[in-house]
Amino acid sequence: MKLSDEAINFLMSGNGNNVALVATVSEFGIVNLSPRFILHVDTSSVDDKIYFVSSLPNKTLYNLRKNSKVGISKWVNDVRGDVRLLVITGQAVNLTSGPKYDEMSDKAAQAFLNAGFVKRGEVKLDKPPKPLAVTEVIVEDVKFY
Amino acid sequence: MASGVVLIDDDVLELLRLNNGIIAFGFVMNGYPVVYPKFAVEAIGNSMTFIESNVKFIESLRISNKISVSVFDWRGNTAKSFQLKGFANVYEKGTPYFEEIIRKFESRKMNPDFLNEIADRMDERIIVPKKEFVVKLDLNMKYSQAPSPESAKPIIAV
Repeated sequence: MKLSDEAINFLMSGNGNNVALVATVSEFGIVNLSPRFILHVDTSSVDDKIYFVSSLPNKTLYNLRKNSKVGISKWVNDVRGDVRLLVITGQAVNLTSGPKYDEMSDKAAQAFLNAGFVKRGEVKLDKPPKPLAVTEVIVEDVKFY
Repeated sequence: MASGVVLIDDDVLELLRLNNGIIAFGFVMNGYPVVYPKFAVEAIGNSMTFIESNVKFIESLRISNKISVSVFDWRGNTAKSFQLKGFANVYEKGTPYFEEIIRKFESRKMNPDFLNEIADRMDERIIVPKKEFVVKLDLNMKYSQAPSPESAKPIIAV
């Protein structure tokens, strides 16, 4: 499924950032929610693809290895309660090598360095480690209102 | 439940206030994990409650009532972020808990207090479109999702 330009803009810059909540579910049916930086939306295929990375072992990655179904949501709400809401569901593939993995790893590293993060206990981190996985979400359904 | 463990502490409430009383509510619908914003009408101790009108949501919760709640700072004003996990219980019209919650919402006697101020300035049609069901979330685990070495250590209330 394709995302509208408006939905992509909202995902990547709504609230002034590219953070969205990623929902996964374990083999026991337990939902996990994780705020993630959305790195990129690839619109070149029949179905749009959304990318984020996992730098360290985490529940999202664990769940996606067991169950590839994923939800991505983002909303803004103003002081009057007006809510703008984007809800995406799809299938995730964890990439650990290949051209797309390398491209997204580089993008993540650049974003990391631009953000100026400093790892605790270290003066600086010139080059962040390669991510454990780049998650590619193939969009199956979208609600935006 | 372990005595003295309160998952909805000042940190969680601070994030709830920053988000205008809105929580991120995660559950499974049509086999997919999904997240929707919900206005909390009660958040105290180890439970949160919201009013729901969408029958599809309720049907999904009757299939699986395992849920997660995330409260985090979308705009990065704090370095706090939490996820709470537990179970959803659905209350229909006519049940004592449903009536109690609706009464608290309509009379602005919600807990914590700041929810009343938020509800007063918000458009009720948006935060609570219809009052068909009340969903109480009994929470038993909390994780910090802020980037720190403590993040992976859950606080367990059961």
